[in-house]
Amino acid sequence: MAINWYKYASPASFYTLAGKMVPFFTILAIGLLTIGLYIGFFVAPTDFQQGEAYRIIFIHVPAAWMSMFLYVVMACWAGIGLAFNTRLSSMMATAIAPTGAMFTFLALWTGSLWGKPMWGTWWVWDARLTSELILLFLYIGFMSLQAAIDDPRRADKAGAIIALVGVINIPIIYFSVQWWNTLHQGASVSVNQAPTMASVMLTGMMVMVLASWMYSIAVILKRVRIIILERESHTAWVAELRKKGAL
Amino acid sequence: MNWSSWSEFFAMGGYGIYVWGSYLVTLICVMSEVLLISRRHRTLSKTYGLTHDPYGKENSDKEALINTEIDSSNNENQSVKAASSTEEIKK
Repeated sequence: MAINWYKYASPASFYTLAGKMVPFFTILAIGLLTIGLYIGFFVAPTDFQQGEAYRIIFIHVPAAWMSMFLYVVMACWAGIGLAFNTRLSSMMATAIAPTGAMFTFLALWTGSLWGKPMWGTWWVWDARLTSELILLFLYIGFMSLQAAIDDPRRADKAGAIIALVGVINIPIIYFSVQWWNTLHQGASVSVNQAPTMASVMLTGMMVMVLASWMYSIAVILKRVRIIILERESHTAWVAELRKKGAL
Repeated sequence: MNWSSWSEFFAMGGYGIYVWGSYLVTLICVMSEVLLISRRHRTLSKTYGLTHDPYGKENSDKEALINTEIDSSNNENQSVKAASSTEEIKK
């Protein structure tokens, strides 16, 4: 494939590319969400052990997966920005953080609402729950640190350090259910084993996972475009956009 | 089909508060994220005069406005960035 990747490392060309991608991913997200919710509520049967309460899975698992995945992506962009001094990579990291934090909060919130009827408690200091809470603090720390530093390039560098150090937490969350004897159940879906879930439930969940991916891509691209405009406001190409009255 | 009536659907076999509590909060989070982003975009457009002015009210001053904005854009950039990021953190 003859794609000139360096071209899209420039905020000006990426701004245009991202603008074209946002509507595409938004439509995909809405479509997949509709299908996923339909399967989740109307096709998937009642669970024989948990009754209807298990339907929380259709947001709990996608939210938890996205919270970890987005953190890794954020740390990668932050690391690339730190190593190669590419502005756009750091802007990507900044754009990912709020969405990642939102998914982390949702994973904890839905987990708590699921834990109450099934375990009899809203919260326990279980390894999985605690490490996920630490993930939320890492996201908040990253955002607060960047917001506290006036110079955007210095904020990028400081944030990158937090993001990279925090990556250690991701395998801890993932393997916590194996390493420690936890209340949280083990993985129902993993790479090297057949899933231990009914296939309709699994389909519904995977569609919701895809929907969360598409949503995240759309929202993050939209946010990175705003960050690009904010930071590049002094440049000739933004002045050109302003003259045309085009966003 | 799992449900014979709407009330059965909302009851979720007695787990309604947990199931709908999860879905409702997710909806609120997603909608506020989308709303915050579009508001941040609007603020930005207003500050930098990026939006098109269809009625031409300010067209005569527009060129002058653009030039002064370019000069002061660095300072403005900082304040807008700080304002919008605190907004997101509050959320």
